[in-house]
Amino acid sequence: MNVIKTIIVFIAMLALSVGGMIYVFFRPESIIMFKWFPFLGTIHQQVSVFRTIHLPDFLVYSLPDGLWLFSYILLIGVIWNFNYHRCIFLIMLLPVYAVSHEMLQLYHMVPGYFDVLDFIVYVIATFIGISVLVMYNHVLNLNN
Amino acid sequence: MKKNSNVIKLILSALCVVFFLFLALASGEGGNSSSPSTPTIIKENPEKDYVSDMTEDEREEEEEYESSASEDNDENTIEENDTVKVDIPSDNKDQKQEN
Repeated sequence: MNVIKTIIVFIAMLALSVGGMIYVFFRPESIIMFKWFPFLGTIHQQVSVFRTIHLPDFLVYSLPDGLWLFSYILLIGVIWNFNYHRCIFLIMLLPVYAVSHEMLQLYHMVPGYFDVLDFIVYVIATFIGISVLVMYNHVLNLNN
Repeated sequence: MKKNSNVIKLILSALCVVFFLFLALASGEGGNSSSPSTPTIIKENPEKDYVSDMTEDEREEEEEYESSASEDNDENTIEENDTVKVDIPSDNKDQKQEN
């Protein structure tokens, strides 16, 4: 049980780190975080050579958001021992926030541009995250 | 005991939500460089606004001024076949007579 939890926490942290590294290494524009944590801004400036590598827009702009959501769902699942029935409200909190934020961008009610790819990535990340929780819950029930 | 564990889970979940919301907020564009998500509106013809802001009297005056200016321009323009008279200064005339 603890081993599974450790692996899931590791996967969640890895997903979050990869998403964060994409922001620091490959995003051309500056973000608010670089203002709050100047050392990140310094790293962002120093690794400008990475930004000469052309990556697909999906990897740079959409994937980090999906990894962020996936990581969140896994961590909430670990906190609640993969008992997803009891924490479905908490699990769905950020996916609903992300999707509604994207939809509000469509109607120009919040700053930013609506991107259908972001929307798809949110849905897929939520689906995969919940599937992982359901799968582990099933495995745990079989073992008990 | 079970209640306590639920409270702990709730607190941990709340911390998790706050942390991830913080990440979402912090990853928003708006650092030092100009954000591409906030496009600047460039007026194509700023003179249009200047004209529309004028009162009717001002507009008439403006039109009169423009029409008179264009008439002056017509008078002053030299066409290809026009002959141009050039006044020679009187000193030059005297010199010519002496020659």
